[in-house]
Amino acid sequence: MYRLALNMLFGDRAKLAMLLCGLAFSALLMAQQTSVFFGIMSWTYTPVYNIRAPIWVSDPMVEQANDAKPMRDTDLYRVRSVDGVAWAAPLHTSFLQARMQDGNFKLITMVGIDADTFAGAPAVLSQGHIEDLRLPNTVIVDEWGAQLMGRVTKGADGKEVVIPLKVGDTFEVNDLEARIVGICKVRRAFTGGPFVYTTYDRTKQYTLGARRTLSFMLVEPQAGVDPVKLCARIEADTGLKAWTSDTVIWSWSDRSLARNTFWWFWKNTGIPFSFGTAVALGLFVGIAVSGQTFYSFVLENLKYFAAIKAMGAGMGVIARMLLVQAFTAGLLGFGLGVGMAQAIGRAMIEKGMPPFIMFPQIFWATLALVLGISLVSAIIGIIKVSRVDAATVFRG
Amino acid sequence: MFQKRYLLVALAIAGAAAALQLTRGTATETPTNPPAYPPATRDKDGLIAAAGLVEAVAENTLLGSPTSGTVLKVHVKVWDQVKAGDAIITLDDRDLTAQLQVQLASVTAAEATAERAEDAAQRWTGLKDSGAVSAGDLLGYQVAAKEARARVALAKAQVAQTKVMLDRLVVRSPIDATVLQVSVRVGEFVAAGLKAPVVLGDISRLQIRCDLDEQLAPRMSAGLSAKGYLKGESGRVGSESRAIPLKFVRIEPYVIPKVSLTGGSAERVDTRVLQVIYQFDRPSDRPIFVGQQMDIYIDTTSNVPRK
Amino acid sequence: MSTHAAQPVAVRTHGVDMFFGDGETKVNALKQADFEANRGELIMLVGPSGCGKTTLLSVIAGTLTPQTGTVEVFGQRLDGLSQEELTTFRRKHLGFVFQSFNLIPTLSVLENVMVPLLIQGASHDVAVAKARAMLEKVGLKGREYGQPNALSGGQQQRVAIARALVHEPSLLICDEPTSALDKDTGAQIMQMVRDLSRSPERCVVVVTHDHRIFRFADRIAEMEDGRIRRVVEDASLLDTNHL
Repeated sequence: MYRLALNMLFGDRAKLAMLLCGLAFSALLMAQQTSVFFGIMSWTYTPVYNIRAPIWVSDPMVEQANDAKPMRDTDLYRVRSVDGVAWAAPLHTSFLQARMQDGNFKLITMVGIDADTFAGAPAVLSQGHIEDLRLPNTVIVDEWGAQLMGRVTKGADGKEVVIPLKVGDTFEVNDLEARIVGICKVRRAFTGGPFVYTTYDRTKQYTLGARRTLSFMLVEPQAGVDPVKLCARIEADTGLKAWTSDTVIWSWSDRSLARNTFWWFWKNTGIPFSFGTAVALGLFVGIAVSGQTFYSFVLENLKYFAAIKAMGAGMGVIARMLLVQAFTAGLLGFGLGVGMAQAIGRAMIEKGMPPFIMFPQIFWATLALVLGISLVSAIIGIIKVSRVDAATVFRG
Repeated sequence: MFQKRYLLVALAIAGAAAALQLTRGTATETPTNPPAYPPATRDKDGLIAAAGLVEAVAENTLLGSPTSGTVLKVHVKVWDQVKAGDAIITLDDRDLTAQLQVQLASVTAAEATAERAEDAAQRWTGLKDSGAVSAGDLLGYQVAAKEARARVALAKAQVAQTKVMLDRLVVRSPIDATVLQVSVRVGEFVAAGLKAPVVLGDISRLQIRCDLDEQLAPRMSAGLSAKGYLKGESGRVGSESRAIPLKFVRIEPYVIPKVSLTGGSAERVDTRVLQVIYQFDRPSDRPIFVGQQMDIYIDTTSNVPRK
Repeated sequence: MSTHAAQPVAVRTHGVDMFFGDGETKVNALKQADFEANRGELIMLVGPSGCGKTTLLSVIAGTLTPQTGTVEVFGQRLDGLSQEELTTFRRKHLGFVFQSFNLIPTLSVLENVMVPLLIQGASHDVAVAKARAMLEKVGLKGREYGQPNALSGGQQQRVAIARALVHEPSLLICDEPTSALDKDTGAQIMQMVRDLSRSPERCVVVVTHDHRIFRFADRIAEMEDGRIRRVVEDASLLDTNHL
């Protein structure tokens, strides 16, 4: 009977196409919209992603990764004095204005890393060498920044062309020269503009001698030391706040800097709401479209199910047939939909815009939603078939 | 039709599999990449960290000038070995030299006057009994001679004073040392006691002055051994082999406001530090310079009794 | 052909009342309907529209349970059975031929015929074999894998007959089997029903108002206003004008 149920489903190619299109479209919509949403939201914890270290230590009042409340330089030595710490390096972050050679101003995120070890340096440099950062007045900018701060000229065809910054170009930060010695590949940030890396000591010049510049400390645990336990020990010993740098935003751990940043933006800004409504609309449209198409499929087959029922098929058999059809259609639609979503996603990731992060949770939630829609449609169909009078089959 | 159906199923499975694979790709773990140069790594528990500054054992002598004046000559350059008493800088002495000439002339003049007065006094003293001179006049001649002698002494004293003042214009090394820094040039004006134009130090043996955050002070005690890591050396030498063993010297009894060690010119004092002095032997394989920064790890588990 | 009245009774209803809705809209479809059909005979239920023949058919088929009266089919009392028991009963003993064929358009001809066997729990292979044999009997060999919609009306009804008989039911219920067909095709279909269903143990009940096929009946029960008016053995005895 289940084979026949499947044959019933696959028999009508036009209806199957419509059904699968509906389900696939909604799966696509759900997966793609939420992935882009979480992609954009993941920009909030870009610093944690770009500046790589197992543990971050901050002022106890810091709530999220874009929030710099500088500490005293001697705090670095206090952290280094905590048992289980392998090393600790200073880190400065601040939002500054960069003045381009054409006189334009651009907001940048200045990151000062330890010149001795380059702990926290970008992982991939597309141009230049990290060691050149030890030369005077040098910086490394990210590719986005190189593009954003590039020179706009008129091309041969009269169109505006952006010539991105390259190694050797300069700009100014607080009237101090910043000479580019490298271009790095890092993730874009939600706030604060492109990343400009320089050495920790030099940020004191660029920030015009800010009273304190130690925004964060990057800490590596000794081999075999659990980062979470080390965080607790650092907090107990120094009174500072220690975070893990994992980007699992779904965890319950309040140690994760990325997770806290994510949810901080969620709670404290209107961003999730404005983006979220679009996502929710996508979800509703998806649910409505797939529910509607599947329901109409059930309705069209109601007559035949009534006949099968009259011929002596029990409701159990019919219910299972409907469920087999629903879940088959649901799974197929889901597979096709997320297949399309991931294809679009890969293209987006390739381009870098807009951001796209398909969490496993998105995958499973989409699956659950599509199957849920299928299940609800099937249940409605089952109720319909159970209510239908077997005698109706005698009335034309 | 069957094949098409399976194609559809295969397509769906492929789509889901690719999506699942992508979810793995959008990593939830932050990839960490180790620092380009391995930092000084703690390898055991019970260590406390401090910032250290390399200085000469006898501490550095910030040589000042006792008088103000324009620099006439700088006798040394950095790295020069000087003995105690060697001239370091000479200030402009032209006014005193001129004054000396005048004073020397007035000594000569005073001596001539004194000679004449003495001669007269002697002569009239010889004729005292002849009655050719009254007792009062004779006394007058004798006092005049005495006065003239005193004038000579005064003029000589003035010459001596000027000579001392001239000598003070030459700043001399009080110790045997190496010239570490010369921050004055010929022709510059040096104010008395304001700025040390020359820094001297005995750099045959170096020591480390460690700034220990006052909150770490309770964990510090005398005699603890330590290791130092020179800044800027990471990567060039292996993390362990670049550790410099340090010997405890003393703890400074007075907790002072922190002085910037990080090079930031505008850094202000906002904490107090306990200073601890450590000594080390110059490693043979690399140069170490006075003023270099060091990361210090003090081993609180190594409570060696003090000598 | 007309002397089976002595055979044991296959279907018997007694004092069956059936009404739908209540109050103003109450419709009394069956009023004390007494009906008997014998094993081995083909009996037709005829009568004007709205006389209750489809309702009576539903009662006999166990798809409707009457408010009062008794229904007995092959010695089994249907009144008082639960829905599940009725379903099981239908599965075992009944075959259906519907007015509008009710073939599932998305299944192949063969698969449509397999449905009753599969409902009974037959294995796929057995069902295929039996359905093939049955289709051969109705003259549709070679059309097994076609779609029902690609067949003519007569062919579709033959598929329906094959489906109704493939599991060899004791009672074959035909609801207006020829109303969607032209005269010649209708006659062919009825001939086929007669030929294939003829069995001493089987009872065939045909509801129709197509007087052209009355001649295929062993007996004809004429209904009027919810009850059996009379039962005749010869169609010519009926006044067909008001049907």
